[in-house]
Amino acid sequence: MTAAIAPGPTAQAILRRRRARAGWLVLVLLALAGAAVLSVALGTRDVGWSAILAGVRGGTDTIAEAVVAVRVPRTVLAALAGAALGLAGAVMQGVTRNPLADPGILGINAGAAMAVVIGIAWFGMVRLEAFLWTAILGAGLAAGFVYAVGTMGRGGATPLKLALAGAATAIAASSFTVAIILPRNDIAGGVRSWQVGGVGGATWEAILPCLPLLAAGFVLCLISARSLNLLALGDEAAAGLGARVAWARASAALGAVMLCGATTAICGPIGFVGLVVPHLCRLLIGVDHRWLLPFSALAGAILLILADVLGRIVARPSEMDVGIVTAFLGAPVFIWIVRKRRVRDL
Amino acid sequence: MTILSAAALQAGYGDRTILRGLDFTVPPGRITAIVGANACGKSTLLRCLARLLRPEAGEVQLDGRALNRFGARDLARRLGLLPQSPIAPDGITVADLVSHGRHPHQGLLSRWSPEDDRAVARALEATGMADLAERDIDALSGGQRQRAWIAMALAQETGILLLDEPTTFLDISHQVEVLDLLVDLNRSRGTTIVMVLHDLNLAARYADHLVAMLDGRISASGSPEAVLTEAMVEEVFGLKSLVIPDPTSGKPMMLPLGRHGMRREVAE
Repeated sequence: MTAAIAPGPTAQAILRRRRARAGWLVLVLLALAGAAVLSVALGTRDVGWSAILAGVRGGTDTIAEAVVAVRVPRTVLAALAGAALGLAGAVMQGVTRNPLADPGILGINAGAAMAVVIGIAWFGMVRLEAFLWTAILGAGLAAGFVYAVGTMGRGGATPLKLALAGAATAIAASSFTVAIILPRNDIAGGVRSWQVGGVGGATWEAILPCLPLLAAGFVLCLISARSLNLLALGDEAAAGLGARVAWARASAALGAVMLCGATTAICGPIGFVGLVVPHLCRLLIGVDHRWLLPFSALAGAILLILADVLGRIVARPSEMDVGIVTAFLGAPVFIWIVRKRRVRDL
Repeated sequence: MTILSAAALQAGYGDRTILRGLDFTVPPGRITAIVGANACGKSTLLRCLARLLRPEAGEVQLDGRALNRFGARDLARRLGLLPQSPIAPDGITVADLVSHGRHPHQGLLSRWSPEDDRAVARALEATGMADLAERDIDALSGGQRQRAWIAMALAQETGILLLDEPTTFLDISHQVEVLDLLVDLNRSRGTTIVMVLHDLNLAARYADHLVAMLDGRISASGSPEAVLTEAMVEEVFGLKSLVIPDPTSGKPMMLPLGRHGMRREVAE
C-alpha cells in the first residue's frame, strides 16, 4: 500500500489541522500575556511604567508601587479562576453532552456557595482552608444531587433532565442561602459581596492554599480529554470503542467539581465563564477535547482578567465586581447559544 | 475465528426481565440477522452480546472466556458495535469520526501511528467514503452517514461486528446500500456480523443465518429458508402471511395478509 510510504490522507489532515491550531495557540498565549499586562497597568488609580516595574518586583515604596503590588496577585487569581471555570465548563458540557452545561446552570457554584454560607453562619467559619473544603463538599453534593435527580426515570441522565434538575437546584440553593443570611445582619455585608463574585481582595496568602486543589482538578480534567471525545458519540458507541463510561464520567466530573469548589471558595460564584468560553473555543478549534480543554482554560483566564480590568475602569473611582461583568458579557452569549442550537441537543 | 456465545442468558431492565434463559451461539464468519416483534428482546440480546447490559443470570462468552473478564479496550479490539442512534458531534468530519475507531488500539500516551492511518484509509475505502473524508457528517445523506459510522466500526478492525437496526431511519435505497456493504465486508474480511433488523424480507435476503425471537426466547433459528415460514410469521408476529420465493434472489419472501386490499381468492 502506498500509505506506507507517504503519510495517508488522515495523517495529512491531522497535520494540517494541528498547524492551524498551533497558530491559534500562539495567538491565545499572546492575548493572555497582553491581558495580564493590562491588568497590572490599568485600574482606578493611574500609575506610571516605573511604578509598574517596581511594583511587580514587590516594591511598595510609593502608593503607586503598592497599588501595582496588589494588582499582581489579583491578576494571578483572575487567571487561575478564569482557567478553572473555563475548563470546568468545557468538561461539564462534555460529560453531560449538554451545550448549556455550566457550573452556574447545573447548580454546582450555588451548592458550593450555600455550603460556605452555612459554614459562616452556623459554624462561625473564618479560615480560608475551611472555606475551600466546605465549598468543594457543597459543589460535590450539588453535582451528585443534580445527577441523581437527572438520572431518575426512563432514559437515564438526558441533557434536558440534567439542565432542569440543575436549574431547580441552583434556585433552591440560592433561596436557602438568602434565607440563612437575611436574619443575620452581622455577616450579611461580607457574605453578600463575596456572593457577587470578585477577585479584588486577592492576596498570595489566599491563593496559595488553593493551588494543590486547583492543580489536582486541572490534571483530572485534562487527562479526561480522550474519554470525553468518545462520550460525545453517545454512551453506547463510547462503550463499544472501549471507554469505561461511568468511570470516565465520574473522574472528569470530580475534576470539574474540585475546580468549581476551589474557585467559588476564593472568589464567590462567578457565572457564565464556564458557559461562554468553551463555545467560543469550539468555533476556533473544533470539538476535539484534547485541544478544546486547554484552550478553554487559557481563554477563560483571558476572559476573567479582561472582565476584571473592565470592572475597574467602567465604575471609576469605584470598582465593579467581576461576577457582575461576566454576567453582562455572558447573558447575550447564552441567548445566542440557545437560539443557534437546535433542540436536538437538549 | 472468534466465537461469541450466550448460555442460560437472563437479562432485563430494573425488575422487568426480558430474556429468560436464552442459549445462542453466533455462527462465526457468517451474517446473522435477529428478527422479531417489538419488545421481544432482540435489542436486549444484542446489548448483552456487546456487554452494554449486564445479565441477571447466565453469561456471554467470547472464545470461551466470560465477557466481563475482558478489559474495556481489549474487548473493543475484538468486538465492534454500532448502536441504533449514535451521536455525531457538531462539525466533526468523516475522517475524524472514523479515526475514533482506532481508540482501542492506542495506548494512553501513544500517538497516531502509520498503522492507524492505514486502518482508517482501508475503512474509508471499503465503505466508499474516501472521497468524502473531509466532509462534515452533518452535510451527508442518511445512507452516507450510516456508511461513515460503519467505517468507524471497521477501523476498529474487530472480528465481530454487532449492529442494532443499521437500516432504521433510512429510505429503501440506502437500506439496500448499507446491507450490500455489510455483505461486502463479510465476504472480503470474513467479519462475523450480527444485526437486528426490522424488515423480514431484507433479513432473509442478506443473512446467512436468521434468528426469530419471541417473548425473550429464540423461537426459530437457521437458514432463511428454514426460518421464514408462514407458521413462524404467525407465531412470532401474530400475522397471517403468504411466503413465496423471492423472484430476484430465490430467498423466501413474506407477503402480509390484511383484512383489506386482498384479492378475493387470497382472502378466502
